[in-house]
Amino acid sequence: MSTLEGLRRAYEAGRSTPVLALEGVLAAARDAASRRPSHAVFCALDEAGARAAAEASAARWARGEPLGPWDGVPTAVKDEVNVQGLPTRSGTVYLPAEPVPEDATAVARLRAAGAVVVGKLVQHELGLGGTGISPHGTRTPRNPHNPLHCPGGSSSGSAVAVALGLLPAAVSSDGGGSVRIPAALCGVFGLKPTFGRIPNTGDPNLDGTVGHLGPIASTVGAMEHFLRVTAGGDGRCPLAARAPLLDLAALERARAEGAAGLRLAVDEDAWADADPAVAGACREALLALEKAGATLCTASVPLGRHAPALGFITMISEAAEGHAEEYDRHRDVMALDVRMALALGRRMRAREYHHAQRLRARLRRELAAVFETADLYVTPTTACTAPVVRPGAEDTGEADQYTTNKIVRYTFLGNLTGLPAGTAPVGRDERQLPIGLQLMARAWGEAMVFRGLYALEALGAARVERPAVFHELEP
Amino acid sequence: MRTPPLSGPALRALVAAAESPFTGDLLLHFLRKETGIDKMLLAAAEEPPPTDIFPLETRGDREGS
Repeated sequence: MSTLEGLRRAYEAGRSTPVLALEGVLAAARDAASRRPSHAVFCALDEAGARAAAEASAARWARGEPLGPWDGVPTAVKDEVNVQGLPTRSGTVYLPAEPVPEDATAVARLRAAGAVVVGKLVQHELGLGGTGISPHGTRTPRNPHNPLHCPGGSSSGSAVAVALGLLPAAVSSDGGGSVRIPAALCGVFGLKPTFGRIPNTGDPNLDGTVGHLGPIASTVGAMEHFLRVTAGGDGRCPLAARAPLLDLAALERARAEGAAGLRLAVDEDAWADADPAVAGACREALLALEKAGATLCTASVPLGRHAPALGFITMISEAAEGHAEEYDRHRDVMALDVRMALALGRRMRAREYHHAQRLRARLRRELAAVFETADLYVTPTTACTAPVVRPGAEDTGEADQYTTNKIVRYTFLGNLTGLPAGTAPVGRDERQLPIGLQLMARAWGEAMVFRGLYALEALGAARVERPAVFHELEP
Repeated sequence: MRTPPLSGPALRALVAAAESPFTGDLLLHFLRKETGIDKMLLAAAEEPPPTDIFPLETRGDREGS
């Protein structure tokens, strides 16, 4: 495996060093990029900076003075999140190619904790898509478990990199499911924290009301360490300024508490929208939790079926405003699905946006009612597994509203309500395509999400499976 | 009815329709049906104005210290 915990043990025991791990990442990235169909995940590398960071970390480990769990651990960052010295192009070919002068807050905090930032990861253009299919650059990094299929998006490179074993964790962002969708479709873990938990500073795409930063990782522990390092106000992000402090005691308890006594809310109407293989694997995971002492209860979130529609109106209206200049100047070189979304966003009426916000408030009330008697609201992460990459889709981009509705069926709930949600890999379908289970908790209740994820991991009900091609960072 | 996946020339034609002042609204009409926005708008008709537009700001159920 390629895990944060495994690398730390290897460094402690002297079986590896941050420098060796970094060289492993770079070699694996070259191999992934050379394959056809391609698994290329990096759109920019900072080899010199990463080597310097790895050497400094190796010196700390040699002295017996590591900074903590992140010290010497290689990571990388979704293209839309600023990394000092590299461009922020958000999966486009038209945003400036000049390097940005400053790290995003989350990236700076990871560096300060000793993480080795290797580079930038490909994504769906402007974050406006759930498939990860791209006509630009190295195009689409294919799903590691079945290269005929897409990786999911928009954090496509992040999920593929973790699933291939290139990285134990990656920095990602989520405006409609862009952490959880690719994590689920590639068979790894993902977390979208509460809105405002992690400062958005340094992600120019997250200026609306649905965007969050979060990790994609190969273990639950790596996500917890990510949250511990990156959470909290930075004096610049107004959203994070209102967030309460992370409950460290609850996080500690979450590791050991297990499933006993956990109250899981299931909305059968919502589950009926999932493909049978997806629902089946997710129910098996729930059964494992139930056998370990969790209780299942029924819940009703009637407005949940409209969440994709609410999400589309909100997201594309905000994106059309936020990317107005890019659309005016560069639409001729945009992927056609992205251009279409922005064109339609410009046509949305104020009345529609306002109605969506009315219903969004009711959706929050419906979920708040669920949490009066339950700890976690559980759904499949997506209603289907990863869609196939059709001929021609990578030449222009592809619009497939039917499939998109299935991909975002459950994830938009988290963005519209701001509630924390995690995804765990709980199985695969007959084509070996991964299936994710989503756990959602009340506001600021990341510890409860972690409790459920840790329980699933400990029971073996959630497991990161190796794809046929896998790169081992641990010796 | 399910709209088929579109790419290439077919999607390019659809984008042109979306950007046209003459057909853009018609296309949006179909999108409303495809995404369920039309049903969502019906559901919104009886809804009061949002009191907490900004997520979580007025929820009053924050945890932690």
